Amino acid sequence: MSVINVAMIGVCGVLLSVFLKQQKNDYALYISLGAAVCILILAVNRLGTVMESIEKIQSYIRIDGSYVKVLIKMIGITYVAEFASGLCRDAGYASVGAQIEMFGKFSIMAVSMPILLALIETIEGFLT
Amino acid sequence: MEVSLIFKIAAVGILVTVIGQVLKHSGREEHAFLVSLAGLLIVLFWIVPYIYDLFENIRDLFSL
Repeated sequence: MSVINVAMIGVCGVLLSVFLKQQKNDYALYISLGAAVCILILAVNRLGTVMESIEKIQSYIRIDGSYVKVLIKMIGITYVAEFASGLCRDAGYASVGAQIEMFGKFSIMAVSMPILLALIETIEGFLT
Repeated sequence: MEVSLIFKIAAVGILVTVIGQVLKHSGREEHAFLVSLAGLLIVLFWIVPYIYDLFENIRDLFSL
């Protein structure tokens, strides 16, 4: 599953959905949804190998596991939020897409709060 | 398997469009609507498992 396959899937999906757009534009949306899902499945498989190497690196360098976990969680949140909001925007409902993106931003802030608190506590430790 | 999903959806779309036009011109509006609804259900039956697997993978991978 090289990049050529992914490009082929994308181009075929777009061409078919343009073709179907005149008569029935809802099927054009289904085709673009199908293409996006297929490409995202391939990307997630490719990302899995990256995750394993990250864990291997983490075992060599003594990093606190929670920080790397929060980092990975952030990547996941942005990935899914971007996928959903892009699809909503494709369908013409930019407001729903914007709401999904806002939720993604807030959930990232919520996930990263513990790290911020830990940083502030360490700084306070230096000062007092 | 992925590429054929796109072509299957396109095929269902084309078929539903053609059948809808034929039914519409022969005066049966509600049948045309039912055919397009059936096409929608078929496409959803194909896509939803893929989406579910996708989100399961993402959940496991990113430990969301």
